[in-house]
Amino acid sequence: MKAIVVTDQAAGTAGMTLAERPEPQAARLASLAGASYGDVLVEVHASGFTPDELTWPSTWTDRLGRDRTPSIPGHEVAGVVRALGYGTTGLSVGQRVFGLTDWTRDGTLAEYAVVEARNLAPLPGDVDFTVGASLAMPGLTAWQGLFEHGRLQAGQSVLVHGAAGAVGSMATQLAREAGAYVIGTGRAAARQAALDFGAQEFVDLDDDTLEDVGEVDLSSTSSAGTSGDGPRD
Amino acid sequence: MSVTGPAEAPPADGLAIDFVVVSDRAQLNEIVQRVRDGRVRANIGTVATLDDAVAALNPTKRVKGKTIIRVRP
Ligand SMILES: NC(=O)c1ccc[n+]([C@@H]2O[C@H](COP(=O)([O-])OP(=O)(O)OC[C@H]3O[C@@H](n4cnc5c(N)ncnc54)[C@H](OP(=O)(O)O)[C@@H]3O)[C@@H](O)[C@H]2O)c1
Repeated sequence: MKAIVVTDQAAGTAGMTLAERPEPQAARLASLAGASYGDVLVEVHASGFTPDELTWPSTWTDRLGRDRTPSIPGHEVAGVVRALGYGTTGLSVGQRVFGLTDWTRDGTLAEYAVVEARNLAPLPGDVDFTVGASLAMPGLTAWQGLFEHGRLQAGQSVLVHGAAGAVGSMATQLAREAGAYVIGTGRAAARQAALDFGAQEFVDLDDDTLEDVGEVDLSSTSSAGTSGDGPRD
Repeated sequence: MSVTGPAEAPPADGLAIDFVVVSDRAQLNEIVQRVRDGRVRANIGTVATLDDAVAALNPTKRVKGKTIIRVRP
């Protein structure tokens, strides 16, 4: 199968190449071989890549610390289930799915990917694969930051750094919907996009200073180069 | 709250949390439902094929939103 591979951490995204890689074996998955417990084979339709992925150790070594290059990056996926292993509760062959795959295994910039069933959700028929792939990482990151770790409540204020970015725009929309007051940040050029996604205020990090914002309940950092100041209780 | 690594210094009055996202079927269901009923919209920048992925993931100018590689048309 065709896939994007990386072999050299120092090269960054410039080191990506299009290569031929062995196709995951559907027959092996179905043979109930122990190593594929919980795995499904996904025919990839759309794939997403997160900017910093190639700097994370999970791209280069597996959970036992072994070199796993050449490694296939991109861990956001939308596609169709083509084969099931044992223990793949809730999914069926032919089903449209989307999700975020294990960082320590080969990813989704490829024609096929092996993914744990629990990392996938059904993708409704009226949602395009491109949209599905674009939602997994920003959606889950924003959701977990705001609601799980940040315990955001209606009426609280939240400072969203990089509010026009992939994660930031999702955090802005989800926080607004949850009844929070959203202050977005970013470069001057991002102002209109941040306001369009629902930010009630925008702080231009080129010109304005964060000190003018005053106290906020939750600050979420998803822009490289800025630092947040955590939730206040 | 940080997804770009641990905070350099804890805030004066509060907590600093950094986390790495994990997949979660129930949360994915919540998110996709919001897209279907228009409460949330996706932020997609560039869409490219797998053959053009290397170039698309090495943009020469700033791109807004997510780059998605459409592996099958
Ligand atoms: N820990 C986790 O689980 C996790 C999960 C998801 C993402 N992340 C990380 O979160 C970050 C954001 O990801 P993303 O996909 O949302 O990327 P993105 O779409 O590029 O968003 C980043 C945003 O921040 C802005 N920005 C960057 N540097 C800035 C600066 N110095 N001053 C002002 N604004 C700045 C960017 O604006 P410009 O376009 O103008 O540069 C952009 O709007 C990445 O570092 C990613 O690796 C971590």
